[in-house]
Amino acid sequence: MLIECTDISKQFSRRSPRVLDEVNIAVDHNEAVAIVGESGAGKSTLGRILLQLETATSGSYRFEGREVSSLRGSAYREWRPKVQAVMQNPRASLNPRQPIWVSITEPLEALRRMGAQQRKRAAGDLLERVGLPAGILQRYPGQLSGGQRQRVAIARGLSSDPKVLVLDEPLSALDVSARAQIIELLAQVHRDLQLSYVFITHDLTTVTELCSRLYVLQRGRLVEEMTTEQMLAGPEHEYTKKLLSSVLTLDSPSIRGVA
Amino acid sequence: MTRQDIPLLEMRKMSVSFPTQSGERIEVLSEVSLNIWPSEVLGVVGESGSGKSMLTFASLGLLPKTGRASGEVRLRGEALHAQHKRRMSQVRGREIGLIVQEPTPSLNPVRRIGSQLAESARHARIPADQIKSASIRALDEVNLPAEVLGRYPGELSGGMNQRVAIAMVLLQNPGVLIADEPTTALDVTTQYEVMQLLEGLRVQHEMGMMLISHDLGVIKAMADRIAVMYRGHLVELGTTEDIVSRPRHPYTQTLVASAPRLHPIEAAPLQDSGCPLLPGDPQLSDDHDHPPTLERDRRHVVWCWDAHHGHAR
Repeated sequence: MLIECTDISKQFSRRSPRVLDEVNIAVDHNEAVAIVGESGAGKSTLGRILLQLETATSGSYRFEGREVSSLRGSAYREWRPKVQAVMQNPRASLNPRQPIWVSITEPLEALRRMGAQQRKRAAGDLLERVGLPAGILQRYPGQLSGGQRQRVAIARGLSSDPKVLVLDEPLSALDVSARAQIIELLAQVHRDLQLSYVFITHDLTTVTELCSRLYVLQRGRLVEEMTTEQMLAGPEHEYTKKLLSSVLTLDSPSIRGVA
Repeated sequence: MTRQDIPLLEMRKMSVSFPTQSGERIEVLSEVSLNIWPSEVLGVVGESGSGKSMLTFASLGLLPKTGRASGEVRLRGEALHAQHKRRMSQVRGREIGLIVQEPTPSLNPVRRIGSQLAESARHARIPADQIKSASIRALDEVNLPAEVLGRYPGELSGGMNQRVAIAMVLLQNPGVLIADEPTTALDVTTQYEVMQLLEGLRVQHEMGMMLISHDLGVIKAMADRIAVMYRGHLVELGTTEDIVSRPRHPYTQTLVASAPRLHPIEAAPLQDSGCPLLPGDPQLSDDHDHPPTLERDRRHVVWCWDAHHGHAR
């Protein structure tokens, strides 16, 4: 297993309720797994723990068999680039005053020691991987469309050659046509680079498009865990059933007359 | 009471422009004409920048000062003019209800729900001694308990605040409801509940409805007809079944093909038909007019320069 979380709990203060309550998840090499839930489910907190932007109050988080919270010094610095993030709003995660090439090469220390020319070349290669022309290297985030910015955020996430991308609602701020293109890109990157995805989303259509397995969180608790096929065939837990029947797609029945 | 042969709301050749920094004006809505018929749900779908919200703002006289609108709005045949401020403020709320995407910021955060509902009730000329009972009745219709009257918007969830916004509309009992992305900010299960609620109330109160959304799935679940907007233009108008199953404009075809589904379909690549309104086209030509109309039948209309090459597959 690449990632193993055992009995992860999170409380922001001693008196507040548990945001995560003894959650267990595992992610294998080259696997795309979804963490599904509505607002308040704790899914983003779980993602932030995987990225170590938060620490769990209790429980174990192992990466390639090693307890992440115990990593120090060079061991931590070695682990850090292996798990990278792509967030919902690329506008917020890219520095608006920094040209694209700086943002893209920032996460990697090795790249930071390089000269500007080398960094630009590396950034150009990354842009090519995410389907953007090298011509935009000198541009600023504000000069790009939402879809282009999300491609830049993905390029940045890939720059340290990670083993896992934690993607927190990376599609929900996009128009549908841009969304379809980013899904295609993420599927292609997953095929080509053989990395793992932890896909945090409220949207079950994203799960069926990109992930082979999913965990369903409700108010901090894991209520169901299944493959995407099992979910489509019919989940067991009442909450998952409700989530699935609430999705409105072009294939859903009309709500006219049922109300 | 409601005449079936004239539209509840008629929007004719609605255009909106805004000034750019250089002083030129840029058109964000170009001669869009749409009718809402009695007891119908008209869906308006489009992505960001399509002009779908501008249509509402222009029709209700809610454009910011720099915006310039032209066109005609008729409510049950009566011409409305944005500059007739008194008439417009009667129309807004009392005759045309509006629900917007973010319920929480559209409510006043420092006033209790009860006082905000009372304001709607007064606007609807409900006598003072009946305001409280009418407010409780309206809350009951949206499945909220009377104790909500004493709460502040910040104490309620997004879904509850959207129900409060709907209750405010119900108090005024308008004949037309415009819902602009009413469920976009809500969780999926809450979205479904609010949609069901809207449908029930629409039938019960005999409202005609314009449902605006970027989400074709949401529109399809409720609309009788769908209008597709793209870059300020109305590009296609037809029955829900026709638009979803037999889209003709290349933009509509893209929209249908890229709509999220639980069972993904293989999307066909977009064909280059030479239409300047195609997605991905770098810019519209500066001297464009409104595209010519291709009418397949009276119930399904496509606007496109390239109509004769046939966008139908």
